[in-house]
Amino acid sequence: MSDQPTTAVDLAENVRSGITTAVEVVDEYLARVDERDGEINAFNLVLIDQARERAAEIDEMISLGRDPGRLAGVPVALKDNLCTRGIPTTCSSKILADWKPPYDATVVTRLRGAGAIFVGKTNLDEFAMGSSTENSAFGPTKNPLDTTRVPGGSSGGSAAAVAANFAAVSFGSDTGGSIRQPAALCGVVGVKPTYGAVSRLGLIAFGSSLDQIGPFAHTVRDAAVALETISGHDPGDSTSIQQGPLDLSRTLDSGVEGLRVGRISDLPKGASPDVEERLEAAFDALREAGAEIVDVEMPAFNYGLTAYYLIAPAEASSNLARFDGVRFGMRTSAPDTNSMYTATRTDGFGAEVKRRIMLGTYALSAGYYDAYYGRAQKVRRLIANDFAAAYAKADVLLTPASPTVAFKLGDKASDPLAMYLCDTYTIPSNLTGDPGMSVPFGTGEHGLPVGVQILAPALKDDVMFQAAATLERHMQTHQDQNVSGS
Amino acid sequence: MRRGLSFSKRWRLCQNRDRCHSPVTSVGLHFGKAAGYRISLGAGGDSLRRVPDVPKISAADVSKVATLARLSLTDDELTTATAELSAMLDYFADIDALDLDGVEPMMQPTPLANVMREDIEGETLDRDEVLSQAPLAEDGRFRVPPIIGIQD
Repeated sequence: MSDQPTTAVDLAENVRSGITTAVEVVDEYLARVDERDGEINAFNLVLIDQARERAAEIDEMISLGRDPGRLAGVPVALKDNLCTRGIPTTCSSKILADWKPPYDATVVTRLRGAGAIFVGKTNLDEFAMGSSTENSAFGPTKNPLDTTRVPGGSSGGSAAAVAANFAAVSFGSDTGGSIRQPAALCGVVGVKPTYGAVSRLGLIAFGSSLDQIGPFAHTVRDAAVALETISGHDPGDSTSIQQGPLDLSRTLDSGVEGLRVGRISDLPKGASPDVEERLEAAFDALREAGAEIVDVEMPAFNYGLTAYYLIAPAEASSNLARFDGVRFGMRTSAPDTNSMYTATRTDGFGAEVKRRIMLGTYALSAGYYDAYYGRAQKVRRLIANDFAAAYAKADVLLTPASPTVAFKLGDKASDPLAMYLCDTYTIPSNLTGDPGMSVPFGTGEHGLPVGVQILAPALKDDVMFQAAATLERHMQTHQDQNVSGS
Repeated sequence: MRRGLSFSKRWRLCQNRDRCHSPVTSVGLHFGKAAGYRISLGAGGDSLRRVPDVPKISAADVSKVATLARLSLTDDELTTATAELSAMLDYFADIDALDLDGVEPMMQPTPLANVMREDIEGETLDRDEVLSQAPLAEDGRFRVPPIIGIQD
């Protein structure tokens, strides 16, 4: 049982070739969940019966000579803001507790079609608003590498589920860094693909012009296969790019010979020394592999945080208006409709969600629209212009994924602004729609993992993956992951 | 002008909420961000000063916003929310210094516009399944309390 391979690619191959069965694989993963999730709290819901049933179906297909797909028998965890028909989808909010969606998200349909087995719905900061998974109505998720620390957020449950090997692959959503930052803090690969590469149909919306679904995995190749499976045009999402699935695994081993890797010379300061050190090591590793390091300037990068925290809450305040006690979720009774809306929303939303709804409502309100939302959209353009100029000189950019390693539970819980600063390096590519990913690249303070972020221009996800695979190979062949002082 | 005040320092500065509204430390949140602010070093050499701003948002404004957003705040929550939103808006004032005249606003990241789907019949959601998830439904419809009732 303990000698089961852990990569999704190997698991699927073994299931498809009959070396093992999907039932055996799923039982092994469920046993680990049973043993340790009481401590970690990665899951809002574990789908024990459904997972076993589906595994038996996969095994049945194989015995009949049919191919269940590329992810045959692979245990997959889904962030609990991805709609699953008939299965509770809560966004870790009281307002949606027990709500069962009447349809599946497109990614869910595609994963099922590829033979994946859903083992559970993972915890998140309520409505994906947060960077630590502490803002959950169902309690915080702990970092499996050190349970006194946060897993990052908002997709902290999905990151922790892969880190604890409760699932071989998991999926999250990234509006301002919600895949990449927890991936960095939990020591796994996390990808935010190009905006529009993956359908958002069935992802409960936070910031519609920023949200994108992406995978967490143990390896870059697993992440590539997972992303290939869920990407490609979907007529059900009008922002879905009209082209087929991303093609990532074919060129994964192409290396970085001649690749121009950008160093942002005016990147906002503030990453801790251990993180800076690993970033430097990543530049060295890519240079060693044949890449050319070039300097780029991005003066507007630093304004990303402001633009984001005006635009994202504005979009959220509009998207979350639908939670009014009429169509789904809970209702707090009141004598008339208007007071019922207010009573329901006041009882149902947590503090951070209310804070952002109010900030967004203010930014959009009469008299302030131009000063806040309007100006933020112009700053967004400046940032996009900066990226365009940088990508004329560089094929990819390298930055930290998170300014620090995983921080202690409670450290930033009472200070919204401090929490927002966690996303300084990840936010800009949400504003521009460009892809970004975090790759584990050794450890920093306290022996905790450090993630290096690779950024690439829109639809150059494949080039980003080549750089990521190169860094991963470097880590496998060098034993330099420990920095001094750790 | 770009300076490298560390995040940890910025965090420390904004963790002290009382001081966030003081002219002495509000600048700490902006430091390293906006060019064009009148910035000078504080007496300790470690903190920074900016010419004081008027408060970014009043309790009355926050109260109005909460009403618009269909949220009800207790007096304590109103005080906290006013302080928090003020600190945030103060931080976000870094973009005030940017000259944005003539910059085209960016609404969304794709070049797509007016996407239409094929006008063909497809599956729709099952009405009973949808209504089964509503707090209250009757005769194939969502049920709500009276629209006209107690005024705000």
